[in-house]
Amino acid sequence: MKIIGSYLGIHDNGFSIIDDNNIIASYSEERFSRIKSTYRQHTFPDASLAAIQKDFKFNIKDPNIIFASAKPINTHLPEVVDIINSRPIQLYSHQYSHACGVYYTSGFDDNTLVISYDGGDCGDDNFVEINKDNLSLYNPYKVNTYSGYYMVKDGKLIEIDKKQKHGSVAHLWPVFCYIFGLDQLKDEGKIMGLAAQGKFDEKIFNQLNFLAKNDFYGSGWIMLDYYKNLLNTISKEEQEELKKKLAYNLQYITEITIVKLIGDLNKKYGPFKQLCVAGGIFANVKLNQKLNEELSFDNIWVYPAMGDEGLSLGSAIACGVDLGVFKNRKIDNVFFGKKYNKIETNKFINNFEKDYNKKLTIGTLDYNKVAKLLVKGKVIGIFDGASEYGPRALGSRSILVEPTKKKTHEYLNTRLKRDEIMPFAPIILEEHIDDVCYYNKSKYTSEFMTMCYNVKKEWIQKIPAVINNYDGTARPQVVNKDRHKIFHNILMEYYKITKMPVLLNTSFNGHGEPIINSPVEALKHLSDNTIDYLIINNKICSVNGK
Amino acid sequence: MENKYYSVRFLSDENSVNWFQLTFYGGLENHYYSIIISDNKDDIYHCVSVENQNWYNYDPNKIFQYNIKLLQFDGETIQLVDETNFNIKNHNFNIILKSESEKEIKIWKFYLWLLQLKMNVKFNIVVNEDLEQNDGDYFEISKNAYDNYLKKTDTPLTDDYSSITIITSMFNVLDDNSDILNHTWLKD
Repeated sequence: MKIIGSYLGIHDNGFSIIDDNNIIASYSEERFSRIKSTYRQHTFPDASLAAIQKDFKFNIKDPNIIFASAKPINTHLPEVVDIINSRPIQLYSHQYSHACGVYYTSGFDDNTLVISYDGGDCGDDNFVEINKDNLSLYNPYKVNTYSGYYMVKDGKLIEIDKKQKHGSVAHLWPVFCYIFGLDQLKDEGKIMGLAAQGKFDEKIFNQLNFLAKNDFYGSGWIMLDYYKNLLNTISKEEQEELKKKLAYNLQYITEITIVKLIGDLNKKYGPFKQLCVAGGIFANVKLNQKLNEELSFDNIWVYPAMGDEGLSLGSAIACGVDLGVFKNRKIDNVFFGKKYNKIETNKFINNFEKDYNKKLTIGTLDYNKVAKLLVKGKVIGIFDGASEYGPRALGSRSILVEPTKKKTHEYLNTRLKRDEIMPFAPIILEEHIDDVCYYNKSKYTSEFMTMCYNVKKEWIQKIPAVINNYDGTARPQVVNKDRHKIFHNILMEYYKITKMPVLLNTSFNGHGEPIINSPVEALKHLSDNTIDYLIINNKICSVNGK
Repeated sequence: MENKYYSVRFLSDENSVNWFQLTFYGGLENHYYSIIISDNKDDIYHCVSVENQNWYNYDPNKIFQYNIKLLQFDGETIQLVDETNFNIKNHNFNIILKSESEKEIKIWKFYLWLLQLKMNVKFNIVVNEDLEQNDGDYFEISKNAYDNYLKKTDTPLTDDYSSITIITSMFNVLDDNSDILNHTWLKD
């Protein structure tokens, strides 16, 4: 039984497909539209729909296919109305879709607390199905729900509480993005990265705490003009200091708010052995580290597609669970995105010299040679198989660099034309993770780069390019030999040469772009000298005889 | 309703949509303001940052008893500088009744008469007329206004609603008006 899931909201929209108990694919619109998060596009995710329909041979209007969606759906779009007029859509609440996504991919038993928390859905209501007869009644902006809390009974999620109407701590982040001159739904990670450089400031903390303790999160905008004006009137050095203090205190209020919320729920309804979390706030890997360190759960699973990009699969899973075909399992990977076969990919490779007027050197993939190139400081892109679902590049669309030089941060930002504040992240051989990090629980979620861990003192100096040097943490992707073969092979060869089981892994994209999707984009980065070498189709390519 | 910071008015537009309008008079120089409007059941929560109009709007339907909080930020502290509870019982109000059915107008008028007795308040009732904005606060009861109200509550629209359902749904300002509704004249 095929179930199509979708999210047809105003950002991070897209489509997923499951077949009985199998996750087949999840296509995020941003990867096709090339606009990160598709934020403020207010457009129908037509490119991802066209791609998934073509790749899996179905038509969304076919009433024989089960079609689910997370709320809200943007009924202002004619394409959405057109689909609704042709067939019914099973609707699942925004928070429940997040919750199903995370719980049914965790492999956890019933002894689990499931938390969904984000900036709100703008449209939770009682609709369970939308069709042409009730379309006029659907109000996508009816009631905002900022979180859903669930426990599990006999494998089914039961809502135990939720938060509506008064906003959430997530609402303070867009305010700070605007204060910093950054983009909402895109640059929050930069503020989190900067927070480690800041310090507690009683005045700023009290301002945020006043909003938090009174549930006045929606009034966070009151701070915008004051701090924007202030930043414009002080020296550059003072600006940097103020930004660091603002970032620190925002991160701090976020951590204490969410840790207390989940701790209180665990006391009231638990104690539970495991915790599952989803929703955009859990893209914050430092927050996740606090949850791991300060709460009593044995194991935490952070949904790898924690933001709204995770809703299309979440709604398909919710529907599959309802119909009794989808069972809880621990997922092996999130390579659910677009896959290009060898023939398609070779066409692009063969056209390279014509397209870019540069000579392409193609060699056989030799992991020892790759490791030696990394030792020499070369930047190596990987384009392999289906792309990752969610915000992290985990080996399908990744860039690898050696991790031992502090200046690599600046060097890579220049090469990739980025302005990252957040430190780059390491990949670490599973066999050696305990040597590098203090790593006693919630191990599996680290295969998906969703949590920070403290790094052991002796390693902080060895791998400065992948450490947050202000707080001694890293957000590793732990590499298992069966689940991440290319990464594992490269890491093993690099380890043989350097005794270093660590490399730097960053997402394969330029400044402001979503992660690359197609071989065309990978080859263009090679042509543009963003990377020195490209691993693609089991080959290693370089330009102009490198 | 008015205080030194703002005024709030109820109005109905030419499409029979009832709404309220908050006008902020401005605050102290170099101070920043945010307004939170909520009802006692949190069915309504409306939050506006006065300077830059970033807002969160939570399903405004009928709000005849509500609370307005005014937050002020001077760069040092954010504080609550004003809190006002509005209750229609304390205000005179124009109510416009629009219907082609004389029977319906009678039912609505009778219901409002009973309501005024119970609340010890006087509404100014206007039938099948439009009012100007400077005529004070007003709220329209009509089938069109009821349809607009239902659209916000996701209730199916049909032509089959009783007159008493329309007025009690749109204009029930009491927590419990069962004794009024038990009056034999209001039984269908």
